[in-house]
Amino acid sequence: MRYLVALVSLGMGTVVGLQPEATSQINGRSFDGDELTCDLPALEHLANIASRRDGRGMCVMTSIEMAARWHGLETMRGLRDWCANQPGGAYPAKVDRQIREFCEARGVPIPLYAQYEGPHIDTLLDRCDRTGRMACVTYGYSPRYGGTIAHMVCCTRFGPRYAVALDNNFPGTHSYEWMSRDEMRRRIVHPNGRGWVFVWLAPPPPPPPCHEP
Amino acid sequence: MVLLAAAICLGQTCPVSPGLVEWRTRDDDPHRVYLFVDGRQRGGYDWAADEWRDFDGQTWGRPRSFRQSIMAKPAGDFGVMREHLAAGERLSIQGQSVAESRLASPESLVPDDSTNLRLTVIGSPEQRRRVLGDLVENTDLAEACRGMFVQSYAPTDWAVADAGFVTTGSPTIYLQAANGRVLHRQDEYHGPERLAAALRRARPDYDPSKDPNRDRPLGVLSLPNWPRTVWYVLGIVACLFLLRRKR
Repeated sequence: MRYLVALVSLGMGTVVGLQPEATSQINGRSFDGDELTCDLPALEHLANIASRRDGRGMCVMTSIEMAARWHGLETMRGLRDWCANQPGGAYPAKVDRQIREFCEARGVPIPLYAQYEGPHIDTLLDRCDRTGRMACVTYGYSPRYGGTIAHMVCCTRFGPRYAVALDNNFPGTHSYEWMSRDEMRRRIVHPNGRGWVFVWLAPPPPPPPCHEP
Repeated sequence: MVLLAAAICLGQTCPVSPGLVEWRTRDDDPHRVYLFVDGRQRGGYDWAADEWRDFDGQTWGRPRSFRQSIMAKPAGDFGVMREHLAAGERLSIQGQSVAESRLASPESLVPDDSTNLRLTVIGSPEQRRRVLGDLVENTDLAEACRGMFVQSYAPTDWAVADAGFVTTGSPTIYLQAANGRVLHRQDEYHGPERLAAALRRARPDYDPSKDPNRDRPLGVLSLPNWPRTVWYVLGIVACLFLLRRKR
């Protein structure tokens, strides 16, 4: 009995008293010689809102619409506000349903997208970064919040040294959260060791033109 | 068990080893339980009223709600419903589960198209529609664009307006390598055949021998479309060969 109590107490302590170290920093579009892979202009950033139906957060559809803007999917503009007329909060199956219903209501084809739930997120995010795609990822904690959170953000960089979160609770050019890729990975899979990644499969915008890169 | 842990953790202090813990009840007080740690009474909980009170051996503390603390949401619930996430691993494309046998790893969900060439059309809706329509209808142009990302933008779109692209063409058409290097640019559109020819020549993997020759009369033996100098050399070699045979 006492061992069980001790175990449960430890678990509760992890949830209640978690105070993550300041393992990230707020910066602009570049830091320590590294740059964002997905440099979405601040005018296209979206802030999280509450559902008009039940007041729950809309971080998932906010992230997904922001990523759609990066991928030039203009038909998805307005997705967050359309979904905010329904109860808030989301999970993969609900995202499938809401995207399908949104596209049906607009009379537009459903753009290709993929979702992953599980622990092995690194290689998927590496692929997204290499191909210039903006992934939407779960986010379990951050010094900005001080404890465990149920949140989704956009991963605008997952490079060899740094990873970057564009948090829809803190949109803006100077609000990017830079951290090591290992730290980003920990935040994505916190608190149960599994993460959720959503990514549009449409190509990213063309790179800036140059002659000798 | 969880309630016990929460009771101990009220105030967010959690002793790792709380000692011998007992919950005691009284027959004449069925709605209440009393917490004893190492034989000392530490508090009591009223299920019906949802009231927890500390007890220091002499006096009872003020009542505190218990369920509220145990049912509390995370520090911030911004919209992810974790309870609905898969317990194991799940991969899907457009809502359709992908069998693990089809994909070796999660990254296979995203195609590795990082080296694709980029064809970008910048212009008015009509100008863009014309080029994109020809891309579908003209097989020559479609073949020339095979394996490329084709995208079109209005001149004011953020993706091109502030990124260094010329946006004043009618339309402007760019062919870029994946790293941004400009392989071809034209500021007018003269039809699908000329664009296809320009794109073919601009491609890094351009091979002139594969150029189609639609000017060749039908029924004539189909010869490779090699450069003229190659044919001269072949002719000389053939003549030399014939002369040697005569001797």
